[in-house]
Amino acid sequence: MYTGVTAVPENLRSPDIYQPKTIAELLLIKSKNPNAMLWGGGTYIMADPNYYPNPEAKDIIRLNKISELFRIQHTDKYIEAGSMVTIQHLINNGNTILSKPVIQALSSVGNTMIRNSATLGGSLSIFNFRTSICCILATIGATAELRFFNRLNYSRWINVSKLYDNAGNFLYADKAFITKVRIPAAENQFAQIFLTIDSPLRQQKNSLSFGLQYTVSQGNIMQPSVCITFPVSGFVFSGEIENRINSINLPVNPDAIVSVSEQISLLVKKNCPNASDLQMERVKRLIQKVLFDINSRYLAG
Amino acid sequence: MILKCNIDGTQYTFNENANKPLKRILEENIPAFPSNSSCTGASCGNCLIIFNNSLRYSCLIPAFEANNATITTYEGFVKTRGFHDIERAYEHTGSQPCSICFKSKTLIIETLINRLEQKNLLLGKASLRTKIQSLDKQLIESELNVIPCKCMEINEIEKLTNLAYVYRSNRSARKPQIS
Repeated sequence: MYTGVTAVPENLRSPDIYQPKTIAELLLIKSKNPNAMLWGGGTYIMADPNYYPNPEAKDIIRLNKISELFRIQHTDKYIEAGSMVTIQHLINNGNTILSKPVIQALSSVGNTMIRNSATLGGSLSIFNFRTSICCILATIGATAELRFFNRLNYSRWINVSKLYDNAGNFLYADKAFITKVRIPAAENQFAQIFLTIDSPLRQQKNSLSFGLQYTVSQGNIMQPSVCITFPVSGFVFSGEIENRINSINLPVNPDAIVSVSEQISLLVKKNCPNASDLQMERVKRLIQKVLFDINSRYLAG
Repeated sequence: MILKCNIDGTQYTFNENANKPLKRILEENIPAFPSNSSCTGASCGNCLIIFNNSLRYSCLIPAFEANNATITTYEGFVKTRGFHDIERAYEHTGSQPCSICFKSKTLIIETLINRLEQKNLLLGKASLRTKIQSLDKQLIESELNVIPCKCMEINEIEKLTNLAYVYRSNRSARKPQIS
């Protein structure tokens, strides 16, 4: 442990750094320092312009020594990655198990350097910032294992889509932390579409991520799973939106596409009132584009 | 916290806040380190450094992570023979990065040369008599995406990297072997 020095320059308190080696040790440290923050890759925290200098800097618990959080396990049905696995590591290891659109979507998250430092757990558990990773994992039905700070030896698997409220805030901040994420393997019958407009980090008020997983059965769009995230203003994973897309008969007429996109954008607006006008317009156009693409793919056989 | 690290070959000891960004520490203590980066993580690329042999944004590294690290800044790299190889390649090909991204792109080329060196060593083709293996264009592209400036084509970077690698290999071949 590095201890705070009294005579630090700039008269700021230097936060204490803890490096637990096991999860049990981490829970013990957290119980003694409830305000301490967990530090995975630190990419988002360091990118916050207000992070330093800050007189109220919290103590830091680094997770880089907990080997359990770095593990990756493969089976035929899923890949299970520890929360400290970096995005790039997941891409390298999941190449044969995850579907091509998922790998492509993960590869478009930031540049190589960002992907090498951003961790899976960190990307999912930032309190008020939703990256495109949340959108991708929620769409494909990934689940996360949460360990609760106040209950020793108690963990729970929760769908990634249920980790956030409509405003995009992480519901378990300060209550639990993510230890593992289970990502389902690619299934042939499902088609997946992931789109991200603008950089979520650089243009938080304009950017959005969209994910859709569906299957086509007897000319109908079936079992759709839709997720739309706005970096700082919302997370939408709603059954109502899925119902609008479910059972759309292909080929769909252009007027119906426009009407469905308008209905969905109204539902999104209802769920995320803080989304900007540009983001709402983009949602509408994106849904139109995606439905036109599905249509043309269907017509092309 | 007491922070010990090796910057451009010199051992430094600082008394700094544990969460202070490395970029600030370098700006305050290394006179030549540029202070033109203010993007704080938005990937402007002006604060690139070689941190423990890999390219990193210094604004995203907290002080506690830099303890016992080996850091090379562009200002330190300029004084090495490695830079001379890249400079010769710039002169020979007649293409070089624009003044805005010159420093960061030079560091990117240096890391690409190191990767090329590793690749050729792995393939057992370090000898100049055999054809040099180039890096994948995809890899070069992903490394170049680290900075937003698009002043150079991937082909140009590939040519520069290969040429600088040849100069470096020639220099290493001439070095007397220590038995």
